[in-house]
Amino acid sequence: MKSELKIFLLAAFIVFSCYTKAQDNKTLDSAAIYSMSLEELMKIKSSGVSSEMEKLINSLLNVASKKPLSTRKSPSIVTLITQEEIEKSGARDLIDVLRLVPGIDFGVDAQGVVSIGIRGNWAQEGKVLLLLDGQEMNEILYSSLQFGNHFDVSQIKRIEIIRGPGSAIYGGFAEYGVISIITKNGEDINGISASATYGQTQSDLGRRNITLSAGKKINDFQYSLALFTGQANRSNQNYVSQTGASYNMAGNSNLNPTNINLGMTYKQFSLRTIFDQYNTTTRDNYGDVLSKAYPNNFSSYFLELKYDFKPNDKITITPRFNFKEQMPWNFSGSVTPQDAAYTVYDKRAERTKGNVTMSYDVTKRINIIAGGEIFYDAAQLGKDTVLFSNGQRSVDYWNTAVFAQALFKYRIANLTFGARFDNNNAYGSAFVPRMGITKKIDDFNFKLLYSNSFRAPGIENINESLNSNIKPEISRVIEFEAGYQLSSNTFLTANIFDIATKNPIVYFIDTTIVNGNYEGYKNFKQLGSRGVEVEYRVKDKWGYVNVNYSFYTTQNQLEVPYYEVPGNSSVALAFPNHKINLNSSFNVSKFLSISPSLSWMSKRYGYASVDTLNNPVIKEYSPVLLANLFFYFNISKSLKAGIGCYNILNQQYEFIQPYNGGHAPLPGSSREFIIRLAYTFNFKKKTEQQ
Amino acid sequence: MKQKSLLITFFLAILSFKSIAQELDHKLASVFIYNFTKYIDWPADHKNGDFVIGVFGDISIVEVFNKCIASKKVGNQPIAMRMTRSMDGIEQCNIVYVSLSESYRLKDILMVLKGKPTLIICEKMGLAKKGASINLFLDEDDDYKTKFEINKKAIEGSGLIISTQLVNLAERAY
Repeated sequence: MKSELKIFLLAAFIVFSCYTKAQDNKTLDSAAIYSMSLEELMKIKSSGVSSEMEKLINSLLNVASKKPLSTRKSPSIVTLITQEEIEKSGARDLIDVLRLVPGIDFGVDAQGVVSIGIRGNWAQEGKVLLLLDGQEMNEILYSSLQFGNHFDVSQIKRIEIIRGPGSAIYGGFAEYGVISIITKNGEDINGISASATYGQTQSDLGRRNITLSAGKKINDFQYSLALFTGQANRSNQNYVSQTGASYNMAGNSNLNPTNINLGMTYKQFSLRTIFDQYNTTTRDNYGDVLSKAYPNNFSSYFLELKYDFKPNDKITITPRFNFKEQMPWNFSGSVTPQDAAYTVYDKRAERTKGNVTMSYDVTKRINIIAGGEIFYDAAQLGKDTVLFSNGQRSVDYWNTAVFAQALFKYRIANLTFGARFDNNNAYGSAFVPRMGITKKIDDFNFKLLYSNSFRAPGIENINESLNSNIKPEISRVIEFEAGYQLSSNTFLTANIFDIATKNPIVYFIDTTIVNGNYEGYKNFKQLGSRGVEVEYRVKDKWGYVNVNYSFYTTQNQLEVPYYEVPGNSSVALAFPNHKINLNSSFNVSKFLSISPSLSWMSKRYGYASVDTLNNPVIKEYSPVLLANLFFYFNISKSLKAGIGCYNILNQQYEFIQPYNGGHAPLPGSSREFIIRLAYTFNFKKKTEQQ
Repeated sequence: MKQKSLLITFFLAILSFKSIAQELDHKLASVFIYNFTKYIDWPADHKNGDFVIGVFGDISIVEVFNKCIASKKVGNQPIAMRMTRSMDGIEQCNIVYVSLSESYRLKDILMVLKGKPTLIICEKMGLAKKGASINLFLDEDDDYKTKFEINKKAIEGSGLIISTQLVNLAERAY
């Protein structure tokens, strides 16, 4: 294993050494610029200045401040993933894309659902916010996310990621991170497109997905419509429960998505509506193995209406209305007697939200953003017979919030001050300020960030809380980043972080409470992590190479027994202390690019079995190297194809449960061969018609 | 342990790579300079003969300027480029352009041109505040577009008349 890692690192190093080329100076359109006014000249980007890498690192991101700033000046630790990287890597789904981001990893929750961890912290319930075209994908009963052939990667234009807190802007789901996916708009699609992906594991179907999309910009009107549907198996390996029962996951771990995404804009008005149906099946139910696979479905509907009102050049006032309705973790069928433990869960939840945000450019150097938000959460039982904690078949909550941010772009440094105050009629209030200083000096850049953030208890966190008493958990996060542009096409960043979370909301089972079994949610003392992330990027016309290393420790931070590894205070369950990723692509010709990627994880820990007294036994999992290779064929402007292999080395990789919840590690898939085909029928642009 | 050594070697090697600074596009800069002349009024004794632009900098910059704007006129004055290595005769220039590599000479240039109707244009961030008339720079927050800052007091102190329109167009004015 170690020798394989060395080979990859050496190969990467050789590539870096060979390809630090001088920047390619383009020429300006000479005739045109002489007749331009100063106003027009100031809109021209200087030719010959931006290399491929500079274009990337100077791309403007919205996610960290809601005001476009370059990655180096954004007041957060950010990652930008481009459409090019996703397409060329051959990523099968979001797991493949996000796994290559420093600090991000995955684990299994319950009932076969896989979700996200960040910087050594399990972030499944309400700690990482996933936005798809601005819509909050977290379901509002448990605030959870579900990964694995769920979201369509073929329609993604870019992903902006905050690898740190985002609550001061985004509220109670963004305690540890924000992943903002922006899909192609009508102008990007400009036609009708179809793409299909087929994946074959060593023994069974890996996946078969299809996407149809259409979009166009016609003067002030723009629309995009994408339909994604497919079928997949989470794995083709054998799952073995902690008690030794097993089954083969092929055909028993379906991941079948259907997603319809419609976006329309007319002048300053925009509409977004998304229907997301994620049908999965599972045979693992906490500690049990069921006699057959049962559905575990997640359905969501999202609607957003937004209007950018601009009374003058300096002020934008954006009223926004959001509605979402969700039925997560849904099973409303019947079970055989031996599977009685797999019970009906049939609840419908909805959130209705109004938000008004004002952005005011006080001067060219000072921007103020301020606003207010109010949302109404409601949930009601379907076939579920267990009443809510209020003794009713329905429950509802109100939440109000105000937020403000000031951004000062001074020559000495960029300063960001922001805060958000939320008040919920069920669990009280949370106030989270943040401050960021970013500074660029020639090729160096620095960021010093201090943020508070919070996790809002979800409806079920409140409902299933001990003694109906649950508070938001609050995190304090300090981050420092230094970046250095080594050459026109190479960039190095390194950051250190320190996360301390007070009153974490944790699912627990305690048989000593209230005359018998008690399980549910309560606030524990503290958890958190500290660590380092280093990222090195090379990008030029020949392609790109990204290498990153991440490290965390939970030493003196983690005081939640459910997340701890017995006898090792520096590591949390499921997540490796050390991780190295390589993401690269080489343009062999205009027609072909070859993209190797790998992810190496140090040893991990999980509960895989129980002893004779039924106590879980900790197991150490050896380091694992996931290596992938994808060939991307740019056959014509309309036709693209790709073929590749994921997990080439056929490593045994498990999604480990990051808490002691009775679930044995869930095997990932074996080696999977992928073939992809995409065809676009482009509409003629107006200028081409003339 | 070997892995750690490998990683350290790897990053040390990376750190040895040469840094390349981002520089102004002089072709675009020349058009900016030409446009500035439309917003600034020189005294009558500087409106005769050639409109002289003296350049403190590399010959390549002079060549670019020559190629781009030497055939133009400011009013009735044909533009004449002059590569300058010393302070001798710079007070005869309508504009003195100070390239990045020659920025360290600004202090001396300001002393020689004190009260003289010569527009001093630099290309290093912060020099407008230090007395240059205009400073061109690349705005990193705006996709590396070329912007400028103005020292209105310095321009007026040198006997030039500047249009408020130009001041309003500047990213910063002192």
